Amino acid sequence: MLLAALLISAAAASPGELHLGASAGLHQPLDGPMLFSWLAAPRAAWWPVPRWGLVGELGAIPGLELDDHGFQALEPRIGAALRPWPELAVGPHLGAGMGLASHQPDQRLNDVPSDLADRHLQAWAGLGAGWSAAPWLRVRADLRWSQGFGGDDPHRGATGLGAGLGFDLVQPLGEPPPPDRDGDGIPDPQDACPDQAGVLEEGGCPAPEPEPEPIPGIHPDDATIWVPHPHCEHSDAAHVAQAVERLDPEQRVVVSAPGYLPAFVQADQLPGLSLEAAPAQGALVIVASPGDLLLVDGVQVNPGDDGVALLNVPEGSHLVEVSGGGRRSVGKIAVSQGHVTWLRPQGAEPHHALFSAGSASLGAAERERIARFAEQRAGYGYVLQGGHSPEGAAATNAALALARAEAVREALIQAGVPEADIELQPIAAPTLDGDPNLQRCCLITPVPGGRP
Amino acid sequence: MSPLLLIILPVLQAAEYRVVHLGDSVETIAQALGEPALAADIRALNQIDADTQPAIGSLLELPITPGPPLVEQQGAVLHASGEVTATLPDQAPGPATPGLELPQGSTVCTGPGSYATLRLARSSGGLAHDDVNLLAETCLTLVSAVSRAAERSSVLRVESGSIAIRAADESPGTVVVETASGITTGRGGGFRVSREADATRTEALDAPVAVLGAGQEVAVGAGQGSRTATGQAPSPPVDLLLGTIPQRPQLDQPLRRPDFGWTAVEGALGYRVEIATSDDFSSIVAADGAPDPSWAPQLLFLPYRVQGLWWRVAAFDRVGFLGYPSEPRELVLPAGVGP
Repeated sequence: MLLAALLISAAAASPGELHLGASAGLHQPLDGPMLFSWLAAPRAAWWPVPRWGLVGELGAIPGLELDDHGFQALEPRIGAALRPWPELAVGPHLGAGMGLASHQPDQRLNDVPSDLADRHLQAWAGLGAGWSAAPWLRVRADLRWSQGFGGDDPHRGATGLGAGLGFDLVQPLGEPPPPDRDGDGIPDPQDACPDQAGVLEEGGCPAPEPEPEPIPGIHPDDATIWVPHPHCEHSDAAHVAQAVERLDPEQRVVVSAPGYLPAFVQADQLPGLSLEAAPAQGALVIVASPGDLLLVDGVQVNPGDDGVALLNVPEGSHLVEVSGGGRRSVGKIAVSQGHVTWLRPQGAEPHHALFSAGSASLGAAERERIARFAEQRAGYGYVLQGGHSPEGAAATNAALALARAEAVREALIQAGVPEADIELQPIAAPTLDGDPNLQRCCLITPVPGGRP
Repeated sequence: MSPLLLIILPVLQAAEYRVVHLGDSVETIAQALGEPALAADIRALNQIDADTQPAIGSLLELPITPGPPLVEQQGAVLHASGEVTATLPDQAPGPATPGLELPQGSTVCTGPGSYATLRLARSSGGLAHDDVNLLAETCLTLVSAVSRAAERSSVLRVESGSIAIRAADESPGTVVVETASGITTGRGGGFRVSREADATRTEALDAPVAVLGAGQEVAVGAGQGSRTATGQAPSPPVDLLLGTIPQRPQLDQPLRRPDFGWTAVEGALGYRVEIATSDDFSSIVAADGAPDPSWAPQLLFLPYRVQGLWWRVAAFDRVGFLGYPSEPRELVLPAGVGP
């Protein structure tokens, strides 16, 4: 009882519920004859939370019979109790704990030696079911097992089983909990949606449906998206979501932005696309002649066998110097980021005078072109190199190539070029993979400064 | 900015224009609209007296007619290479960048060596559209762009330079090009209009056009051209030169030396070479003239961060008409160009 009183006093100052009640039933020692004894047990329990509680009980068995002797037993016990589903009106409960068993001989029944009185520790465990008949009343049925400690002594080693019916009077402790109709733990006065279970962040209303993951944009955000035929439309990076939604996932698009390398991707690759920053450089192709010396910003560069040099250089102005074949060309060239600039030094390019198959006669149009070529290069000398296509006899072809060079020399002289400024060189051997139409020609290479 | 820059805005006050052709009168035009009673509205809108008829080649504003709604549209800049400026109504000139919307009344100008492509009218809800290429040193004003269901109509004014109306892939739209010398109107695109010193040159490539000037109209068939001197009737149509065949650089041959060559066209006075970053030449990046069937520029400047480069060439005759372009041929950049 002292324990129960302590329990009650502790509970009184704490939140939760206080249960006061009693049970009555039968008790039977398991190792004795089947002589059911009445039992009664007033009880107090404190449930600080709906699911767990502490219980104190005083079991009284006025007619306990052990070893052919009658006893009056008092068994105060304490323990822990569990209600797995407190929200149910009818639900199970479990309990376990320790207690003290006090057995006093019942002199009214028989003459029992007084030294048979005993006190010993006892363990107990029980289960049962309860029904919350009213907010203040819970009716219960219990089944309890107990085991004494003390070896072979008939008291101390006793094992018993008790069953009973009882009730608990329920008294809420502390402030009565505010109403919470939807059971979401948020009191109705603070619940904006008292009839809908919700979350605190939304004031008691249901959490909103999670928004779909935003479609990540494109870096940089000033990029533009070009959707080619049949759409032929520009969109901007701020509208990636619409573009992805509207286009076939495999639709190829071009994403570009100033200062970045353009990307050619499928529409489904647009989200999160990050363009690669473009290095500020461009390409410079110097179209010189084989053997020319090339300097870019004072540094010699090596052209290919065809006299063409290709460089990737920083954006900006570059000094290009080409010399060879008696000429020298110096000039500044601007190179722009992302662009390729072909530079052909002035006057260095030869001209192909074309002939028909098997012919060494210049047409009127070609003759006119030769005259214009010479007119644009006053003061130049010319090296002529006749050519022919691969088919046909070698001797005939050689003669034909020479005749073509002679025809061009005559055209140049007619155009005002001094004969001394014209030089004929051996024919150029044709290649089988070349264009025969272009090989039926005479190569006219201008040389600055007059006589070659 | 809208996700698609070609916004189609239904506007009740959208203006639709119609060219007055040979044989047209206010009454026949109203009848063609399905409402003879609209003749009075046409006269009122265009301030035409009851006893007179509009001159051939004039542009009439049409009244609102029953049927599908007339939708006024904004144009847009599709491509701009070099120095291209746009002057929007009531605004100062600014750079014409791809995607820029062009309300009606906008003017776009290209500088030397600069090119642009503009989107004109677009069919309501469809993919059909009319586009115009602006060559270098061209100024163009978008007067009107409207659509009515699948039908669409654009009116342009060319102040200077040369434009090419691209052939429409889908249903044909009507494009009217107005210059100081006359009017060219075509359906389905595929024609060029160029301003000359005191004349306008029209070349019809893919579809016939009508050229109107000084109250006269000349039908110019596909493959023909006509010139309209200011204050004079359009010249009789002349045949355009046929296309040539590119020869150099050969297919798949890297462009180490920019030596271009093609077959000569009989009767050609010269040639015009164009290089673009698309095979439909909506994005021209370089163009030049050549007196011979070859072109070896001393300086050539091309972008390399592009999907590709294509070139084509067309011959022009002794009176300046530019003929059919050759088939586009792709250019291959030399290995090692770019990062």
